[in-house]
Amino acid sequence: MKKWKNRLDEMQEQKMLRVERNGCWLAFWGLSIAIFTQLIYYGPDCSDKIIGEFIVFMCLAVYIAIGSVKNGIWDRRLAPTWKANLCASLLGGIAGGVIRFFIVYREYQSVEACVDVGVIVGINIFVICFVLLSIALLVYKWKENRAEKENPDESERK
Amino acid sequence: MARNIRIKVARAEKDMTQKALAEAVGISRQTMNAIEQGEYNPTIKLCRSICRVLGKSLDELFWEEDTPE
Repeated sequence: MKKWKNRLDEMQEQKMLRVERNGCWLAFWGLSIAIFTQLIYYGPDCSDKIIGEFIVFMCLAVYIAIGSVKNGIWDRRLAPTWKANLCASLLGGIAGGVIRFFIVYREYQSVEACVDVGVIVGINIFVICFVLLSIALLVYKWKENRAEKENPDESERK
Repeated sequence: MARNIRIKVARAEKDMTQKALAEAVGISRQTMNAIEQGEYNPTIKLCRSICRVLGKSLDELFWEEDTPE
């Protein structure tokens, strides 16, 4: 006998999942805003102040990414293609570069130096994002192929 | 989604309240009400449970003639 029986019926379960999903994304974006706000407020050398938020944020991000790929799910809107990965990495790189620009600008007040730092950081983020997305895409495709082989459509054999 | 009058009629034929039917199929009265009001689309498993309790077929309670596939 299950000790903790689920007391919700299917409609309540769906509503609860929706509430939990919203809570998850609220935590995800809330943490990312909190991290960026602290980075801009305290400057680039504040890793000791944001370590807690950063660990929780990364745990959430890694869990969502691995959980999705493991279950053969890519994204609601984006297609699992190299082109989409390139665009997403580019956006990530630009966002990262711009944020880094403001963080460093607040500290040193020099546009030239900040542009250099922003561009270097942006390129680094772009490369890291693209490599990670490429690995995830390869794993996703491998999972998809394996699922196709394990569960073939019997009617196609005739 | 349109209101499901047929469940209400079948329930009345069996002289069952929403609460009694909900308890018989193992859901809350709010969920039963949402199904009758057309606010919730139940799973096939729950549809079958409702049909079994009311002694009706899936077609009789849930089939909609004018719904395109």
